Amino acid sequence: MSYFKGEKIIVPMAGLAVAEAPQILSTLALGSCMGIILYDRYAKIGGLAHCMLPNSKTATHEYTPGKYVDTAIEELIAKLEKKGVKSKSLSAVLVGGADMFPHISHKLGLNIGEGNLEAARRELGKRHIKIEKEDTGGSIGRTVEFDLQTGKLMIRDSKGQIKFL
Amino acid sequence: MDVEDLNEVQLDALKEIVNIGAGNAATALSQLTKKKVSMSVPHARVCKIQDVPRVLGVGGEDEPISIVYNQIIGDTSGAIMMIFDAKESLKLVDVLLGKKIGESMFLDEMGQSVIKEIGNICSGASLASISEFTGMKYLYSIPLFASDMLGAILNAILSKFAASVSSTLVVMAELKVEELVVKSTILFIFTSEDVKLILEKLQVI
Repeated sequence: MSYFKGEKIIVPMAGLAVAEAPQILSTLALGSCMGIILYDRYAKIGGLAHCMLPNSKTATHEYTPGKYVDTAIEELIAKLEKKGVKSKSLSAVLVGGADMFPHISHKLGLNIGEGNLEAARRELGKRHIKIEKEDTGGSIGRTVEFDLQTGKLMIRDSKGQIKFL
Repeated sequence: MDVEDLNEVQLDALKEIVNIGAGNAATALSQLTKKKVSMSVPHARVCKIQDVPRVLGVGGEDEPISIVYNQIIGDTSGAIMMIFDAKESLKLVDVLLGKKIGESMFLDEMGQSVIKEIGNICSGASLASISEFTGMKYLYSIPLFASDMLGAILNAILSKFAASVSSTLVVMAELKVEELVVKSTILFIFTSEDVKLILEKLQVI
């Protein structure tokens, strides 16, 4: 089901993609993962990453930039710059960073959402990129669609509730 | 050393070990519920950690599921979890509680604890079977229950291990209670050291 008109690009977990209007950027079932959208509203070009972890420095395995908040933001900016978008014209949208096992997640080290959100805010702050829209935290799964034409964001949660930001 | 290094024969052997555990779990469940319970493991595969939601999410990564999660603690780290399609878990609760199938519309507290217990028994038995085989002692946490989108829950769990583990073992399990057949998935996350140990044992076969 699509809420916006246009070809939908679905970004998998640990993935990232760059697209331009009338394309729609989407990712499914964000839990503790961080969905990061960077876009230029005038050029109508943007990118989306579905990050699992805050920091690439913790990685001991293969390098996948979309997997980590820090490298995903870096890679998105690099890809957007290649398309002629300047980083100072970018705004950000953050979705996800939930705590899927509330109350007990701290004990078992499952409270990754919090760290993801902090990392995203820090990395964007460092680059002076403004967070324009945000639907984060809580303990619920979210599927998102982002319309590059209008800059509208659709969020559908696991209870089936839909909202537009 | 990674689960990816398992060849077909070793994967089959590991599937058989889990199958033995599943048999034990079925016996336990049958005694507990006084119902006819059997369990089989038709399929096992190795899967990259970031591909798990796509591989399991036949109906989409945002399909609603119920999950029972046990974290492996003690000498090693890892996790084992049992995953049910949300609708399937309702049927399972109905048949186990002696209700008409389709009667439960959502998982209430009783239903959740039924699923939690099934998951706990099945995961525990599979792990015990592997443990007997490798000589490793696995302890595990109390079971956690969650119900949400498949991808949303899995990515919270997988993220915890994503930096140190790259692949997982996915085992399809079929649970039969009386006439009802419910498909589920048992997912194992092992450290490379444990995989190495399992592999070494499997070389012997």
